[in-house]
Amino acid sequence: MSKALVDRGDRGDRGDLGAFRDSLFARQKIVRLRLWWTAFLVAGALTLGLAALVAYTVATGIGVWGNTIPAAWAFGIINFVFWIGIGHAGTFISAILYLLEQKWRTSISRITETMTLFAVVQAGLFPLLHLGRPWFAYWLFPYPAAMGVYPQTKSALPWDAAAVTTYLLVSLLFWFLGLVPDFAALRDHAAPRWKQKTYGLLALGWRGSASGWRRWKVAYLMLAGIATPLVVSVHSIVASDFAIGNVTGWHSTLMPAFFVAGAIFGGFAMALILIIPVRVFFGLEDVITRRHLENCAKLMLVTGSVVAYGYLIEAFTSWYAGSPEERYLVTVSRPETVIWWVMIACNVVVPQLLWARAIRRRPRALFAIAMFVTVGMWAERYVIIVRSLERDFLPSTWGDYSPTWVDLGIFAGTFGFFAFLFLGALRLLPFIPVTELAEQEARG
Amino acid sequence: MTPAGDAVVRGVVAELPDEAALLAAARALRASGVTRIEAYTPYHVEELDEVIGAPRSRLAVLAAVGALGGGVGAYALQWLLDAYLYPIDAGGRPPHMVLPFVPITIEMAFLGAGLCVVAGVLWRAALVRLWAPVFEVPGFTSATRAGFWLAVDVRDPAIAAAREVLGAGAHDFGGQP
Repeated sequence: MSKALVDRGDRGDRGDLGAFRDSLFARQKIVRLRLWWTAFLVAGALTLGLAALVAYTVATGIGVWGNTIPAAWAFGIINFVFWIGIGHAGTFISAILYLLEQKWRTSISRITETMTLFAVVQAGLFPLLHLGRPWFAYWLFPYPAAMGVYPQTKSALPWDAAAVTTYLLVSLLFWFLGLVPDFAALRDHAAPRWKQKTYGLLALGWRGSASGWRRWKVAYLMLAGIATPLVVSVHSIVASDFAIGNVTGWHSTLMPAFFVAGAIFGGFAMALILIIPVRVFFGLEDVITRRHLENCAKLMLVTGSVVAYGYLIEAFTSWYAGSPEERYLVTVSRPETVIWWVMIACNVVVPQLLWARAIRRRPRALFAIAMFVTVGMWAERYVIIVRSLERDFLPSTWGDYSPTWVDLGIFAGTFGFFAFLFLGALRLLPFIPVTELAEQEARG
Repeated sequence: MTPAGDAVVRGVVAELPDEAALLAAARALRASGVTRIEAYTPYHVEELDEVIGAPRSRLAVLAAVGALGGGVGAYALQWLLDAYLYPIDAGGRPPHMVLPFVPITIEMAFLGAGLCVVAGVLWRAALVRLWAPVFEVPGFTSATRAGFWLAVDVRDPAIAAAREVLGAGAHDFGGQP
């Protein structure tokens, strides 16, 4: 493990733990407030737009979306899978890399955990709205119903409800537990009284006692252990929605593994999209170093290769199975095929640039590649969902899908809402895990 | 089981310049027969747990209970709802079928474990009390920055020896028992 968790630069000696921590906290303050406010207001406006479109959908009915038979699942599920996939990188970084003692993860773990939580929030919106009557969403959960009608867990959809709820709750607890010592530091050293009080409440009376630390460490480690299988299981279960359905192109055991790899791939792309501007904006280039970016890029390369292999095998099994419907999907060219080519270009061709070390260490190039991958991963979900539904087993049920302006608006709105939450978190939360970094720094 | 919260609630506390000094002082305390020791540090000092003889945390037991409760509960609930109260034919599967019950059983086991671990750490580390007597010691806020503090319970039989080790800079906190 290299010592360069944080480039020391000219900020004092190793021994000066206090100064190191103060500097890390101080540098998380937003100096360029105007830029922040501009971004925050734009994001806020998009969030309001989202709220308006959600209200319109709920008030008018789900018919304002483009979904129709045979493509009854379209933007709602595409965007759900897209956002939940993004939510994978955070817990991957904070839990799996923690268990593997990858100490470089520390600098970026909090940002990506925050990203995870907010991405899952966006994801959760879609199935809820897709119900058509979201006020009955509680029907998905078992409750003592007077009607005597209960959720059927032999269908895959309640699995989703359980998996996503569990993932959100465990990620939230993990994130919060990690924040407690940093909140305590802010309680003791933040200036205005209201901040001391707020952080004081959030710090839960943390004293930094040996008894407290001992239990906190065990709890943190165990939550990491619990979150690790969840990272794998959530998207496996999402994939089961497709894999257990008897639809061309879906009914395949390839799905879970392929989905998980794609989720981590897309999640790292979004992580880079967030981290690269944040490190410049806050001048944190010595905390989130090029090495961090390079490691994210390497993980993208690995998971991207698994995804590429998935595309290959998907095509191969369709051909090898000999079923005319499966073969039709992969061989016949339709307008949808353009999106398939976008997917291949963004997810398979462009990431090959990451083999070059010079590119992995160049933030701008990485940012651009991450953008491509994000587009590509969305295109992938479009291809999986819409292509299969439009061309089912019976040609008499075939139909074509196109999204409406409401679909597009809601999708755009979730980006605004996501940015709104994320910008708020940058303002209010210690997004660099100072306590954990200071511990690593003290140990050398 | 050791009591929840910090090992010392009332006692005498002193600040030490760094981790090495803290460990040395803790060893000196142990050598002079002091047993009820607590430390306050900006990060987890693992060696300290050995020096002051802290017991192993048993949160893992709680996690196991949570996992078992979550898993068994989820399976039982699925059976109750889908095989007993409302058995309908979904996808041609029999009312009670193990395989489709597995995903939710696993998820709820993890959820149960996670909730128990967090509830457990809040309870065991007494993380719901927002105030502690030691907060009143002047300069104690350095414990969350770069200060290393060592405390001894006032009821410790060797408290006199402890005062000697901790030196003149030590503060009493929490009043008398």
